[in-house]
Amino acid sequence: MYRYPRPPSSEITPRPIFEQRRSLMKGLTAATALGGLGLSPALASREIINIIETDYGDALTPTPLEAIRGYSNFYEFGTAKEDPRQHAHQLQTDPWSVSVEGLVDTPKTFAVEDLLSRFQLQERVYRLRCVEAWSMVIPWIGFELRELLKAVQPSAEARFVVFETLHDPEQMPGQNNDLLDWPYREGLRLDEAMHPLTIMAVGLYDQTLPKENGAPIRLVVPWKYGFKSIKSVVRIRLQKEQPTSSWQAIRPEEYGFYANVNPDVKHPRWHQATERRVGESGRRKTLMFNGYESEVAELYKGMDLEKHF
Amino acid sequence: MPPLTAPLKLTAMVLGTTPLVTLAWAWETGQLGFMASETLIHWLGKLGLGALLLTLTLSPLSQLTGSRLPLTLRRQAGLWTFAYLTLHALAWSFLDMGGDAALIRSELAEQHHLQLGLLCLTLLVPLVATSFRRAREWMGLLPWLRLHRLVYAAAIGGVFHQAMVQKVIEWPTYLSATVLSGLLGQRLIRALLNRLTRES
Repeated sequence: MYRYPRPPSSEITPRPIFEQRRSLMKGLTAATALGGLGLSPALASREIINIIETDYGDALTPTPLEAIRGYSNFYEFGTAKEDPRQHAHQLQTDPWSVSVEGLVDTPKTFAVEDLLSRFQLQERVYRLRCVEAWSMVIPWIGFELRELLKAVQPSAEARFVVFETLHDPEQMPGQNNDLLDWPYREGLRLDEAMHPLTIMAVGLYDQTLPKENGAPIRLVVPWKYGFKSIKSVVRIRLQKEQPTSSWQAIRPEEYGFYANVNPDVKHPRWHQATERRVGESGRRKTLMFNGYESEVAELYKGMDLEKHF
Repeated sequence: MPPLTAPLKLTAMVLGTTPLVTLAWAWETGQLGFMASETLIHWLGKLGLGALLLTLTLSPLSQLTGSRLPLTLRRQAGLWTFAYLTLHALAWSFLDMGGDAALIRSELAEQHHLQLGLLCLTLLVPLVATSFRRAREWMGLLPWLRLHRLVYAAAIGGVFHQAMVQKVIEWPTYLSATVLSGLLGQRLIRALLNRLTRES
């Protein structure tokens, strides 16, 4: 039987270099194609390749792309739902890097393109439930946050993960308005951040993220209200103390640290037992942990969810 | 009746109908965004509150200009207010709540901004019912005027309702709060001045 000769290890191209070449070639191809069309690469969403399909959300019908782009809360670009779509073009997403720091053994700043080539991208079709009682189904492209955290090795005393959005009022005019204490901040318990459902999304519908949806990289925690899934992240910090997130800071009685989707915990402004799915008429029942109860309930065992809302 | 009354009333009728027709057109042609019912409900509410504040502007306007013309529009402005706010409540009940009586009841039982909104709308009902001349004559001017002071409670409640609905307070609320404070302030000063002149 003929056996294919095994090449000596010195001849194998190391994976990072191999991937750099690939992304270089991809970039060249894309640049040529776009150049031919007279488009600037910064303006266009690019297709993402090498995505693993998963069966998350197989039974769900994704919300149309136009609705995902045209109906969003991204107060850095204005408070109306259509504001992000209109103003997010001012955001410069290339180059972009994410600094992972704090209580980790090897703090590091990653360029977004390195994250894309280093971690396996997957499609995850998740429900998104906004605290304002509307919902969508979004086919995210991303990688598990735990992969990134493992790469920097959290130290033993790290308990919480804090995320920060870019702070630049020039690019994000909504930050001129002090509705919130900018930059936008969110936090997770380390075990929540390490949960396999928690992803860093870099795209949706097989394309890089639209700017109005938090390009180039954002957090997605599908069992929590949408405001936890912070957009356009530039900093991830591990720490010992529980952080205060932006909404929690201005209205602690309305927005808790956990913000788990829970039809039984009332909010003074929005009914949380039901929701309106964008694109549908009528209302749906809101599911405990947004339908991810069997996966995440264990994280909150023994906790009073009325108190830790 | 001043000679301009009829054309003015007709103009007001057209002005009152225009936003409604525009909204209906925008609804039909899908111009109200991805959550059209929400946009519609908010617009009806804003227009209703705007009409209410406009109604309260007519009497100071009359005092300022020395003309009775603005006063002839008060009834119509008040009725438009009621029409828009009733549509606002109906749109919420049927488009947002899907006409589900149990859901509407549970929402009203829990949410303070809804209770306040419904209370304000209810306050307007006796005013609409007594808005015609016969009712005023039958009641007598003074009791009628006293009853119609309810409009101030409805306006104050309406502005609070608008503020409570929002996640963060924005300019439409600041605008209506400022206009309302101005209108209430003007009436207060006028009442104080009247008392002083009567005493002296």
